[in-house]
Amino acid sequence: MSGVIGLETEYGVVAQGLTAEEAARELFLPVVGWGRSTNVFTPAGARLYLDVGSHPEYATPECSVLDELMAAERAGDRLMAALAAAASRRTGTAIALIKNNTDSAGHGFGCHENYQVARAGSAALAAKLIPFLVTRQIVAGAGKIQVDPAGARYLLSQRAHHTTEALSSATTRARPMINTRDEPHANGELYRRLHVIVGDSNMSTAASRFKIGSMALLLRARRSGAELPDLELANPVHAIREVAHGWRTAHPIELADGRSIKPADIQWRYLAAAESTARTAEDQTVLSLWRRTLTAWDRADFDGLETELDWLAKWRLLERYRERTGAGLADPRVLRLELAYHQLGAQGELREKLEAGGNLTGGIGRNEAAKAVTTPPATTRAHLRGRFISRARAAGREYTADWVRLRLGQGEAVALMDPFDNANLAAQALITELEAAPPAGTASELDAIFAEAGRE
Amino acid sequence: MEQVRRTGLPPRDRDEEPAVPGPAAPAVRTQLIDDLLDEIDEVLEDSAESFVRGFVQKGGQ
Repeated sequence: MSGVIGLETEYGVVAQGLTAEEAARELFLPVVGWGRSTNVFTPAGARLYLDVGSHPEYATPECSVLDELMAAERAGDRLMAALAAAASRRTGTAIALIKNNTDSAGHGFGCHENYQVARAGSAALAAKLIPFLVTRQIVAGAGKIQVDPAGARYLLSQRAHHTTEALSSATTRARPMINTRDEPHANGELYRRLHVIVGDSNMSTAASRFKIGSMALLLRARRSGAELPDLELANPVHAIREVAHGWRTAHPIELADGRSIKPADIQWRYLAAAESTARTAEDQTVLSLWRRTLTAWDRADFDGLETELDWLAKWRLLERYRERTGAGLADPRVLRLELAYHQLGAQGELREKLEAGGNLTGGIGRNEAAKAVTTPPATTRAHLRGRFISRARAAGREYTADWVRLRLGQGEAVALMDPFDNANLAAQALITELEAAPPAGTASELDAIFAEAGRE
Repeated sequence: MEQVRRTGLPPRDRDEEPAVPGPAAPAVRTQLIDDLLDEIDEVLEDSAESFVRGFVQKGGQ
């Protein structure tokens, strides 16, 4: 990867007899006990918080290596599962966490990708990425049963129907594909944050790896002077819905110049641009799934890919259930099974069983995911943030931390404006000072939850 | 990563067990799905409707 990348995931929460708001509040009691707030940074340098609409949310620390980011994403899932298990024990009510992007009433919530890009040329870059983002759901989509008065159908993407614009600076009213709000969390003269909010949350790590890795390759290609495909869609919002509805037929979509093009053909053009910059084994893994999936679309033969693509893995699971029971797509049992695919669990998560049996592959090791619950990535400033937080807590000292600042007690704040700065001397000095302090010996419920989520 | 086709077991190095398992053969995969569906069947039969109906959030982001 060429710039740092982070991923924010909003989770859905369900508990019998509790509203989402009440359940989320229960979930975050240990967080408040730990940090006197529902918005904290963790010893991994990640942000754990309650977002608008009572969504538990986890923002990974800044990562510069794809494997680190995949481990960090899974660490967030594990932490949420452990919070839910603790809240369930405390209340005696089963509180379930769902990693998807739509509830039963049609509300949408997000999975946001953040890419550090150079400020120069960033507006033109965003426009160049729209055809890619509209069509990448044919690989990275998480699948969705949509039920309405006209019937039930299976869509490729969770988010397609929750997108109302291509580019916008608002998120809660408008639903753009790329949010252009200028909030770099870094030196704003040099960098912007490309905030992609059109993606589905992935259960499959292979799919998530593609989702992030393909964007990273395209950004790197662009940075090294390669041209991204010169395509403009007639109507991106209409097109993203067309593509979502097209898994049987792959409807061609319309370009601004009046021609029509298949979604896979758009993706082939971006793939060619990404191939020009591929260097590492990590890059090749991304390109391999990309290429194999587009080939499958060309041949209309997807066999084998159900171990990597979420929309297909879930479809095959639902189909098997329907074969056994004769249930229709809108049957509540089928809708419940769909949610089970996205449900996180400290014990008995469906995804982990699918992975253990070789039905989902391309994941990361349990050890890496467990370790990433409390260990920050080594290659970015999160390395300093995470260690600062864990040392300050061990010493029982007051501190504040956010994406760009660390402050111990009433001391001077240390600014970390470069996301790659993992060895800032002033921050190191704070950490050294804390390491020399005697341990405070305090532990809260959240510390026990970190330990549970971090168990291998 | 090897791609698994319709027939045959996935290639696997017998000396080294991979940390992350590779894809299982299609027949094995179907069997696992059937086992998982057997396990979850009670949940689906008992409380599917109330669970699905109870999944209501406010909009996020």
